[in-house]
Amino acid sequence: MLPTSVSDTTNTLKASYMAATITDESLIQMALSGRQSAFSMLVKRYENYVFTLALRFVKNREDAHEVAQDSFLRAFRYLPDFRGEAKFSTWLYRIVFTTALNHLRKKNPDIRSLDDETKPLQIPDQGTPDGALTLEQNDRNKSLHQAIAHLSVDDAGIITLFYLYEQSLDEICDIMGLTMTNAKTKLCRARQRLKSVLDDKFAAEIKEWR
Amino acid sequence: MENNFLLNDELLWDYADGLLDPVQHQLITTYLEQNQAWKVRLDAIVLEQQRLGALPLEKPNAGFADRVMAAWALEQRVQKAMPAAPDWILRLIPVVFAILILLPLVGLLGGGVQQNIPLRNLPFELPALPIDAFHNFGASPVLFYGVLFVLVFLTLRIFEQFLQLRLQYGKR
Repeated sequence: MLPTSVSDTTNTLKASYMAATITDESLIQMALSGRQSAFSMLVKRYENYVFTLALRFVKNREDAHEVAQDSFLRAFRYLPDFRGEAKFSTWLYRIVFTTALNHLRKKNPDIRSLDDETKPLQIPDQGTPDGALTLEQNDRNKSLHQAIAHLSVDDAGIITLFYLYEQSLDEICDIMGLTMTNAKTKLCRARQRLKSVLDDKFAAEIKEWR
Repeated sequence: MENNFLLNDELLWDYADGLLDPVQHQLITTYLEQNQAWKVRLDAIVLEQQRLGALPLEKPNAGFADRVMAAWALEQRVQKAMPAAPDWILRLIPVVFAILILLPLVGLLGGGVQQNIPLRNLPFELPALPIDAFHNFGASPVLFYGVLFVLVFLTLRIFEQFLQLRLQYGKR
């Protein structure tokens, strides 16, 4: 018999492998049949995505934790209603968007304003630096994160969904409740604003990494 | 080739994002093949896109997944502990609702039938409906609207209760 530590490691690796290979659809089926481990796997699979998106919307980590947790709970509650017409991730991001907007509206009823510059801004914490990333990459990422954090809720959301989460415009329309024309216009405007923020506030850093 | 379709950064971004229609896309592809300066600009845009797409995701605090699962387990426990509404309540409410709406209608119709069509050969005697009382009832606006108001209020109240119970217990 293998020593306990090796056996544990093997089990952990097996579990990680299984979690990585099971599709969202299978996990949803398992969750609906009452398996708690399936819910847990869904949380682990999407926690970073949901948290990052929540952070883009609410701009501070504390609120982002609350929004992310509420989003997962709402998703689980309404999981029986998920018909698989859209991807699970799209459906989940729509829940995050709605939950974040409700959260923001509770705090400030005028939060939908696109040009709201008075909202509290907290520069996202980068956490422990990844060993594989160079210092330059870290600086660049930090500047980009900070620039995105300066954008409005809609701009930050659409930039994150389109470029980072690789959601199509159709899916973004579904998530944010926009028409195609509106989504294109918003994406274009968000890009311009991001460029403007980068040029105004992070010009020095940009020069270094261009 | 002239830049006669006003190629600019925004159009190039849309091109790189794949948001243009096939005709525009082809037009720009052809233009870029012949204009090195714009090709360089496109490469810079693609690089910026890649940087945006390669941003590392933010990580929630340690134990976030466990906290979500604990909250979910608690919610399920609370839901299970909540007593289910007895079936008879759910059945009774629409019945009462139907009676409240239908009974006055049937009464009025019955009254009309009794007044206009003589039914003489029935093996039993139809109770005489107070048709005159209805006329008097209609003649007094205070009484008429008062009763109407009470009936509407009661109906809406019962309907609201029904919806609440459906929301609370209907999905079980």
